Amino acid sequence: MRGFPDHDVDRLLDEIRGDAAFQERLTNWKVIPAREAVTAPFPQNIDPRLIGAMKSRGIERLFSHQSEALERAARGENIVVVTPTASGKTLCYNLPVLNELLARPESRALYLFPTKALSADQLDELHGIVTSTGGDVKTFTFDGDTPADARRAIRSAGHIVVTNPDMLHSGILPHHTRWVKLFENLKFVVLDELHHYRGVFGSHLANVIRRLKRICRFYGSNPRFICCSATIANPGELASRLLEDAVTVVDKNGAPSGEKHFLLYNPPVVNRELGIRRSVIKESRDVADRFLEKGCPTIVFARSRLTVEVLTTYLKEKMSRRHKNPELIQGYRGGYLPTERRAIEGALRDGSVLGVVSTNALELGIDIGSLEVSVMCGYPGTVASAWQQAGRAGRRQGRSVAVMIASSSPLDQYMVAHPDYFFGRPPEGAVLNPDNLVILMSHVKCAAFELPFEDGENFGACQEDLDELLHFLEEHRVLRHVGNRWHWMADVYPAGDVSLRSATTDNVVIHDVVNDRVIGEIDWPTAPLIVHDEAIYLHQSRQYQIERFDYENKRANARPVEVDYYTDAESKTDIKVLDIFEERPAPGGQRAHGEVAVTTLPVLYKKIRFHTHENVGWGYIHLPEQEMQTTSFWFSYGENDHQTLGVTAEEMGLGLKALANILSQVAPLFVMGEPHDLRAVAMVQSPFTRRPTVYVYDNHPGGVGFSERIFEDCARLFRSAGELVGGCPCPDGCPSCVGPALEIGPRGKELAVRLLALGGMEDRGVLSGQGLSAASRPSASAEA
Amino acid sequence: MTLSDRLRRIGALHGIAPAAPIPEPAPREELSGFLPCSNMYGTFLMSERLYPLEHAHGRHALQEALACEAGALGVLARDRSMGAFDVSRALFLDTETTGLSGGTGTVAFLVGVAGFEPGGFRVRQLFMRDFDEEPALLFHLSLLLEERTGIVTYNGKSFDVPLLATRFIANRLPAPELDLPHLDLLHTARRLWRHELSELTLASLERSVLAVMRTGDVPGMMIPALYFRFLTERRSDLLEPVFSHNLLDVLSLVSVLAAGARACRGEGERVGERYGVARTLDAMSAREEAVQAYRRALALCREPALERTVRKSLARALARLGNHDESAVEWRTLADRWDDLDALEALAKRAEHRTRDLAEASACVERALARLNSPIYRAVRTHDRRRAALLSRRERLHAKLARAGA
Repeated sequence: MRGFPDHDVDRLLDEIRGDAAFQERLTNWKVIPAREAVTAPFPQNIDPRLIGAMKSRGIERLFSHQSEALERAARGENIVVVTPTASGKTLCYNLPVLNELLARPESRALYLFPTKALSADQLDELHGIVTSTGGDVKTFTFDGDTPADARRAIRSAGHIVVTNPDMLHSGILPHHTRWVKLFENLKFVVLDELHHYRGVFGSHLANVIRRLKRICRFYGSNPRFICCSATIANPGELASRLLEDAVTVVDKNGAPSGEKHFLLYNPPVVNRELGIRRSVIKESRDVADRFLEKGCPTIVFARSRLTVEVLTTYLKEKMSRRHKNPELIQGYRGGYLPTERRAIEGALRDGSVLGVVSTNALELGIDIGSLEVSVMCGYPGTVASAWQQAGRAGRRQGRSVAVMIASSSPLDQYMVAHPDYFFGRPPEGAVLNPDNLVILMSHVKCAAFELPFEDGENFGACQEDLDELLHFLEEHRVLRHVGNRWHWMADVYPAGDVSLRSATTDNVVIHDVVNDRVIGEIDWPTAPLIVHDEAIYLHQSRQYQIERFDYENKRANARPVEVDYYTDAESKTDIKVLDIFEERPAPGGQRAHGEVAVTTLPVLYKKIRFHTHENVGWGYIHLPEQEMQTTSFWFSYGENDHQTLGVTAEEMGLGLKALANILSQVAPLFVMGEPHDLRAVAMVQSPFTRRPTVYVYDNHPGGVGFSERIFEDCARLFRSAGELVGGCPCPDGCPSCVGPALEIGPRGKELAVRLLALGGMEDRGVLSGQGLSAASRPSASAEA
Repeated sequence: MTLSDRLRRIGALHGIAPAAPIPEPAPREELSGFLPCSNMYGTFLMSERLYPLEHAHGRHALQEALACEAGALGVLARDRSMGAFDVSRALFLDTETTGLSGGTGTVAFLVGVAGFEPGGFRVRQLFMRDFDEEPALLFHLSLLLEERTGIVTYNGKSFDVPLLATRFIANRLPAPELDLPHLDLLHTARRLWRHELSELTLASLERSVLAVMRTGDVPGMMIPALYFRFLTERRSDLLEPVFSHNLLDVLSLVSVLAAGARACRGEGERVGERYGVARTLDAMSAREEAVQAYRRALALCREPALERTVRKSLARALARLGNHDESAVEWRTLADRWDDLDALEALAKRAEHRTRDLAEASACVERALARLNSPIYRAVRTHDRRRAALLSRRERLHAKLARAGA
């Protein structure tokens, strides 16, 4: 029992409506009306045992999307189902799979979930249905935790093998001969949470699927794919790029839903100069507690593990102060033991826990029953995620509430200030680049290890010249060409060196020399700025000082310390254009994308005191420069634009810096990327274009497709950034928009707005170069 | 920019050797000692040697393995049903591979197979000069396997046999029956010799148990690289040490079997080995034989630590046989010589429940507790449970003594 029998969301909503202070902070209150169910009868040719099992669970008819998925999958189409949380999505794949397995018990299916926790959870529902059908369908999870003695049974007897892409890549495909039964009879591959497979992870997964299909061909099977995705702009495109095959989109949701109130909430400004708002954590605590106090089952999403812990503590304290059991509030995140997590999930379902504070771990389809309120502590990074998190509160009947509380980061500010954008058609398209050379090469090696390539063979729809890649590997003594086949010729297990979550193959190990243990690893490209000598490295909110960064051996020795400052490294970045893929005049300048070499030279680091942020010292960093070849978008302005704009070259430089700051913050929004996926650099006179130029490049060697997408959509990116900067209440720049005035100069913000307006002008096919004349009214064109 | 240039620039070469031009494929010469062998899948090379049965490989003649009786085979396999294993019809197998990490990209380029026949012991080495000769090699191997009813290897259960099974599948060849009765001598060696050898590689067994001398041997981890060099350079001298390594490995399989059989007959002079046999018998519930074997091991014991271990096993085995008096003799020796806690506890139990000598039981408990209170034991928390058990026994004994006194 939750202990609050008479709580009432409706009454609480009325109360909030009357609360002027609360209202003032809301930038939007959107009511999404309730929807009626659209149902369909069970399609024909469905095994009566399956229909019986559904009916025994009270399901007399299917929702229309479930029935459509079932019919299309049975017809042999690849499908991607795009419907919101709690719409009965799992039946969209469980029904076709079970129908097949009941009819032909020798058939097999493979389920892939992006994370391990999720796969464990999905099994329960499946087991339940299987038991009700009375059929003999064996379902097993196969991942790193599967005991060795269970593996043999799973390999031969598992009808449905549930695993994750990493395990498929490194544990199953390289040992395919032990999985003969599975691969010979594989009928369905299920990819849930498809929208996770984007950027680096998606580029890897596309290659893992190339390998999977290659192995299936070897064993004579040709599985169909059933995918599920959250709402994104391009689910069909994403699925067909991952599968390299035609995919039907099933997106007519037939599930009913109750009325949902979606509130966008911006904490009040406490320091206008610095653009500082009241802490998002404290606001989230207060908002969540308001609902918890009334007994509404509530989930709070936080972006970091640390924030989860802090918020959990705060909310428990609030409970105690009211003499309620603090255990009604629980934290939930990766790093908790699986048994702890299962216990919390169960307690949420049966109502013995009232509130849970979670990372996005609970955003995925883990069954926690239906809650009434979802509070997001900060914008989750993508609109798709925000909808999934909001969907955690929401029932098929009755009202639910989602409150998104903005932090002071530019993206958060943009979202709360632009509800039309937020509630409009999902703006983000997932991008990936399976032919990223680093990633492609890794998987060509893995594939060659699995089965020798034959002359003339293709690797999926790989656009690069496979023959040349294979020759290259032959020259490096990794492959040997004999007869008409390319044989693996190295005493290594290639999948062991390839992580699906990273585009580089190198990591730096951080070693705690006092306790003699490894505390973490970071990507080689970012290492010089994070673990240079003397750097303060934070791990699980503990401080370590780097004693020595051993560049050759890719190892950083760290020592636990307690100091009142952190370090911030600065580097000098240089960009050299190697190849232009495409170049087009834009009304306000010139846009292009191509291949670039980015060199980064770490220069110095500053010691910055906590809280006051004063500079308390600095030092040089002595590390060699690093070069990365990747893809970049760039936009160049007219040679004399600074004169036309009436500023000095130096001011122009600061304005461009402000521009780069805001673009690197907003660009990830358009490509469903994380902030570290992209970097922006500005140059007053780029050696290549000889003009003022801003580059936005993929921060992964070889590029994973972000910059191409930005090139295509650059006017919209510039306009969105312009709206964000224009709408920011700070006078001359703050961390929530173009960066603090100290960094970008007194006119930086103003210039950034004008430069953004130039870049944001709609391309009407007019050849340009004139630029400024058309953009003399930046505010007007920003509206265009 | 060419693809190669791009690959170099983006650093896709991590963990890859520097490029070198690919030489023109050299003609496939025949190797001395090998003859081409052809079948419907192509050609590979094979060598054959026939050793007389009395050929001595180290301390043992090959034919000693043939004399291995059913009881010994059961002990060597720790599985009585393996008593029916027919050594004379078994295939002795050892492979040399292109990698040690497993997975479908690892190939057995040299397969040594051997077996007894009426006139001696025949060793064949099947060798592929390049990857395209693998199907022919595998096909021939499957023919050789057909004539055999069992397999003898060293670590073949987890390495050689699954690897070969994989190779048949990857080459789309009909797989032979590999699921034959399989005597994996690594497992045997672990049981028999781990009490005295720190390392249980075949080479260390040869040195310490089999008296086989290897000179100029090539370390196993070097073998893949040698084969890869051979593929490009085609110099047969590169592989000579690999061929002889494999040959010695196959012969040593026979010697390990012979040495194991001798140990089972109780003829060995090694105390650790006698103890290993006894433990195996014990694990197989051959209690009386185990007791005899423990006693044979004790007879050779010179080293106190090992003696204590053996004697303890003996005491337990006797108790399981129901021979409590003889068991008590052993426990008493253990208690007197080492103040052994297990012994004191066992004696206390016996005195309390069997001989009903409460004073004796009490004395044992006090001695054990005193021992636990000595500085070496006090620091070790793992003894907490034992201490608790002793204390409750003391309490119970006191109560009984009080009642008896009253």
